[in-house]
Amino acid sequence: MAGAVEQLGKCMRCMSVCKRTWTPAFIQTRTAIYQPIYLEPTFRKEDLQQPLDELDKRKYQPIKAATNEQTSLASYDAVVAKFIRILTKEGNKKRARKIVDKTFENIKLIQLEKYHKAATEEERQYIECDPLTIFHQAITNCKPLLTTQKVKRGGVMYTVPIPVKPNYQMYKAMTWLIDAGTDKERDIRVWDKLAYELLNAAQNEGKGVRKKQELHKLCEANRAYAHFRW
Amino acid sequence: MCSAAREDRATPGTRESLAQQFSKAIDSHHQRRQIFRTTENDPANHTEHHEGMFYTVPPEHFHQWMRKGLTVNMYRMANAFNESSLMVRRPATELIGYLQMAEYTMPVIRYLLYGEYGSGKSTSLAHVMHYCGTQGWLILHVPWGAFFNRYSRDVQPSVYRPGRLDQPLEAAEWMTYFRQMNESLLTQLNIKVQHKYVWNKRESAEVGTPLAEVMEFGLARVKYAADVVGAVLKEIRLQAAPQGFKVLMAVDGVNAFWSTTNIKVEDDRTKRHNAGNLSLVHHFKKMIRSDWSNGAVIGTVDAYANDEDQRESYLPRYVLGKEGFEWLDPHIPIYVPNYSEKEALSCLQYYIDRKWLQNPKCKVALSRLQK
Repeated sequence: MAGAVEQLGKCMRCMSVCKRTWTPAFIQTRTAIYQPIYLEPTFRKEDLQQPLDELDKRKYQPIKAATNEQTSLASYDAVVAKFIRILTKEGNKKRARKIVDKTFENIKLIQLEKYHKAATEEERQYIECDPLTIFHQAITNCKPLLTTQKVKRGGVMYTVPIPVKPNYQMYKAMTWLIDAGTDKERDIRVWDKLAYELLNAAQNEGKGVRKKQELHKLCEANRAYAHFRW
Repeated sequence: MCSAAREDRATPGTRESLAQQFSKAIDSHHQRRQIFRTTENDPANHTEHHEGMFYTVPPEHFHQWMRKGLTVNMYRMANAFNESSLMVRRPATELIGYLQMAEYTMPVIRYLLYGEYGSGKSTSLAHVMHYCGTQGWLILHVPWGAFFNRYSRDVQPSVYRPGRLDQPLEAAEWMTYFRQMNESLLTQLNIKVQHKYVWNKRESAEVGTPLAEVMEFGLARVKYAADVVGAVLKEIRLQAAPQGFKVLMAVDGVNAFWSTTNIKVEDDRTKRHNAGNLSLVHHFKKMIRSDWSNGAVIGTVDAYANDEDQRESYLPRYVLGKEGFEWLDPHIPIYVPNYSEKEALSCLQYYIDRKWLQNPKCKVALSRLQK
């Protein structure tokens, strides 16, 4: 009898979860003008030249229009574009773009100075001068593997460690880097501080990486409650 | 380019006929990338053959004659590249040619560099200054003419001539800059004052006082710095021909001498002083008249040295205005064009050589351009 009640309860819980996920009226949407059936656009010149497979979804499903920033320029990078979008304040994207450009320029100036002042060829091999690779390295170094979630069980709130989705990983890494870059004295420019932070993060040091490590430590401390996730 | 040539030389392999070697050499010459660097680092030897190539300025020369006047980016790049290179361009070589051919017993010739914003007027001026410096000229350099109009920190009414305005701090700063630039030459020349200068009741410079001492006084008593600058310029102007040292007066943005300043008039706060009212500008304006000899005056005409409402054209007559144009008439105008295709390519190659262009797609684009 007791078993049957438990099963019923589980079923009900499942149904309620299902109900919550399938009520589109309550889903938060921000400028989502496309239905989920629409596919992401293919806009790079080299991608467009690739022949399509017979079973390729793009043949049978509608596709979103490319946004303004999605171009086939040599300087386009999807991660950098995302970074700029997160950095934007007051809708002033132009300003964010300028900050990122100047940051990259600063990184290049700092690294090139090291490169050209290095005494031997061996030292030079280990100096990375490309700001894009440094940026990507910094982002990957700041990505968290776990995060915590509050779960109420038996009237008590528990902090439960949960795995992170790739999108959230990226978002978290970027916000930590931006926070580190904007936390500065008044007379220091953002692009100088941000360049410094990115260079540090690429070396697995600095504020952004420390934030990630702190979060990991918190997850480690609460690992006894991991089973509350289900 | 070098590596390919070296390989050819290093691996002779089977013996080739002279004709084969010759044809091979020509092929490699054609395949070779365009040369963007020259080893000729003495600006006196730069001719049109070196056009579009970069020459390296020795660090001590860069420190001495190009400490001010170039754009901020140039300094940052020079620091990052661990070398300072300038491109040899037509206006500079043309001007150096004129300077080499000029007759120095006659009154000074005025040269005006003009061109669009960012076309390289100041850089050409720096190149010519490097030439003059290596030739042992005395250089009087005003890094930015509009500086005195816009950024003056402390303005005081002149003691010497009522109605004029002194900028003691700027004057002292310019004097130290001038002294640093010509340190060795000034000690070697040991110029002595030919006039008596009375600063106040107690202090004066008698005839025969060394110029160094007068400058020292100006720096010690900053109140008189602007007047001391006038005295120094006057003595240099008078003694250039008899003493036999050549003088270069280089001004970046000369047209600022005839524009208006930010300084408001005491009696009527709606009006602003003309630049001619500043005593420093007054002294420099005397220097760019052609009433002295054994020297040259080079100025750049820059619309950005003017007020905001007078930047429509970069041509000398418009930018200088009627008064300024008449003051500088006659002069030799030299047009500074934007980069030609050859110069742009050589600049890109220089950037790739210094690893400034990091994106691999840049190199692909450049190779496509070269075909």
